[in-house]
Amino acid sequence: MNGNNAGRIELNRLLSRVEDWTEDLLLRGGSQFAVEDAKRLEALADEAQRLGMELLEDLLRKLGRSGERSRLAASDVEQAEASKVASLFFRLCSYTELARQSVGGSSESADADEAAEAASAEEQADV
Amino acid sequence: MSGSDMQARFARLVALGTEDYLIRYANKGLYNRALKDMEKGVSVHYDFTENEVICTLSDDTICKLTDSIESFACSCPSDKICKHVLIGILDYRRFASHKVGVNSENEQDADAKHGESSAANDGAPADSGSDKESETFGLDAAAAADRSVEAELPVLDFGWLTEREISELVSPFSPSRVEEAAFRLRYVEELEVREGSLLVVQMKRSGVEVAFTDTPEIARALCAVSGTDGEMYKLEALLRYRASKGLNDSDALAAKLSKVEFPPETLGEFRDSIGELLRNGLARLPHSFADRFELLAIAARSSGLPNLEREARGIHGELELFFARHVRFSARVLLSRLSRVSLMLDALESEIGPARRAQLAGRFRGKYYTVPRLDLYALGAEPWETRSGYRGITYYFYCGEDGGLYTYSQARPAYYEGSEFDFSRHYRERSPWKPDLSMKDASSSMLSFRAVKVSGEGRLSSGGSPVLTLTVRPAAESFDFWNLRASSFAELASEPVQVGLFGGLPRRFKLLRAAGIVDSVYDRVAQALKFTVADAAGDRLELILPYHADWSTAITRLESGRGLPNGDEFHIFASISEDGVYPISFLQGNRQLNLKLDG
Repeated sequence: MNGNNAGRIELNRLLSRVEDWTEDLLLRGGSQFAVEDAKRLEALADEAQRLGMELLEDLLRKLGRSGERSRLAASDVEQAEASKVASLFFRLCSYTELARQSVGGSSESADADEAAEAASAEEQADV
Repeated sequence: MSGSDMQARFARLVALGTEDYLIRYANKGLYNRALKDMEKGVSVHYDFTENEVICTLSDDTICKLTDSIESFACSCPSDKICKHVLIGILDYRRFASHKVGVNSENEQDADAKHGESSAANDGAPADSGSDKESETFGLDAAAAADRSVEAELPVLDFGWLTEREISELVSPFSPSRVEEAAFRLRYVEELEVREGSLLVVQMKRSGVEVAFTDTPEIARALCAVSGTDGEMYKLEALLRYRASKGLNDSDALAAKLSKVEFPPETLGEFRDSIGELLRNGLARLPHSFADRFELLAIAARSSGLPNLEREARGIHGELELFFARHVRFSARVLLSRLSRVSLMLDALESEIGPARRAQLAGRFRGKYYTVPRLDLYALGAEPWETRSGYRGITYYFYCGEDGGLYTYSQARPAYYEGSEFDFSRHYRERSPWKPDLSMKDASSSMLSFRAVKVSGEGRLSSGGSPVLTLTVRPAAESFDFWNLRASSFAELASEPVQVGLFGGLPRRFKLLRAAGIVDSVYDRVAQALKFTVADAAGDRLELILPYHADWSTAITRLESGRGLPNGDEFHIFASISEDGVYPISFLQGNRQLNLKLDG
């Protein structure tokens, strides 16, 4: 029970670090992908590997490599590589969101609940 | 020899024309009147032409028939099927017997056939019953002719019902009708199928029969219910019959119903926009960029992609919050929306089958379907208030036919000045379905609805014109709640956590069996009343009832133990979430306590 809890805390911590990075990149922009980002992603991937999160590790490594390539690529290849980065990036975001839900950490599901109630209220009014 | 050709075709119609067949096309009264007229001596003279059978009745009526009961012309004023048409068909047996003679009386299998058909004719009129016992030659001959004609009952092929493509069969009907009929299949129905000159599908719960002809058209089927309701039953009967033969039409129907056909450019524009947003970064995004998502929302709407439309509007709103430096802006929410769009685009661009594609594209608005019959076991009511300022009461019901949970919500926004939602007043208010029934009473009854409107998510509508009758609600202890009933407290913890990316997570509800309340204490820190209940095996479970000013009296009362179930076993209807078990009502025998409302 205790070990399980500890694992949960570690996982939540990792997810938070991934989320910090995704929010950060959203603010800076993918075109600003830097060497440091690739390093940060590698470090996160190592951590994911240590926790046995293979899919997360795979996503992080792929994103790191793809980001690095987009940084170095010539402008014509850049477009294709950038869209690959975007696709991997958003998959990573979805992954962390789902992982949060299943770990039972902080989530914004209360909002979803409210939205559903409000929608039901609207429908009631419509009928 | 076209006249005799017509005669042969007409003989086929006569063979088809069993009592059941004629009554379905006309009605019982008309059929009986036709028999009575014949008894009184009305007879028919037949002339066959290339396209018609001219029946001259002895009362001077001239009725022109064909080889189909659906096309006729009669000199009487009626423009619908009349007794003369029936006489024209029925009397042909006598006419034929004159020509054939009395030579087929002892045909064994003809006898068997006759026995069969008269057994099917429940409540047969006096005429067909008496002719068997009759001693007179004339009637015997008529009976013999009757048999010889019946013996020739043509081989009918109803194979079209299962062999044709469903999309082809339902094509004359509007998609919304077909959708509604398909919706009904989620409810159990007992079918009885009889094959004769018609293929009759009887739906026992609804008490409706639909008779299909061998002509492959649903619209030609016969149903005593007229108008659009009848049309719905015809579609429902067809779908149920096919399902009973092991056909699964859901995918084909979904493909037809919500043809998700959108210009691929729309997806491309979405992808370009979210890609560009990510590449640029929020920090250097021009303000005008937000408007792009407004335009995307419009494009999504006109492309029939409601889910994408919703996300585009959400992203637009979130970007506006960002540019306004509003405290409610959340990068997490924005990322969540953007990544949902990205995944949706991936999925929509790949081959995932029409049903899932339609699901992904979403719906524009919660749709309600009329369900012919719905029996609901009321489980309790719960008041609620959301952070966004809505207040309401949700009533929960269980349906045994599909094992589903149904809800009805009274809800109002309470943030306008002067708009209030008084829980106890709305709880005691009249139900929308039956004037002398309050919602409070409805929340602990057994409701039997006819033609009530229900959404795909199991929400009951207050609209339409349903007929509601109250039946005796069985004790919770003896009712079969299937999956809703948790076998033990431990089961609650062992169920896998649900995870969802698209749309909010559905709430989980369970019916728990408890042997008694061991302890109840008000937790001042958590601001909640906490019960500990034990089951028969002695396992314990904590229930949480959070404090709210509006149900404080209920909490005080519960804290003092008043109104709680007595020593025997009782049931707890509760909402189960990650952080605890939240009871809604206690049920014991015929008694029920809605914890927050019955204060």
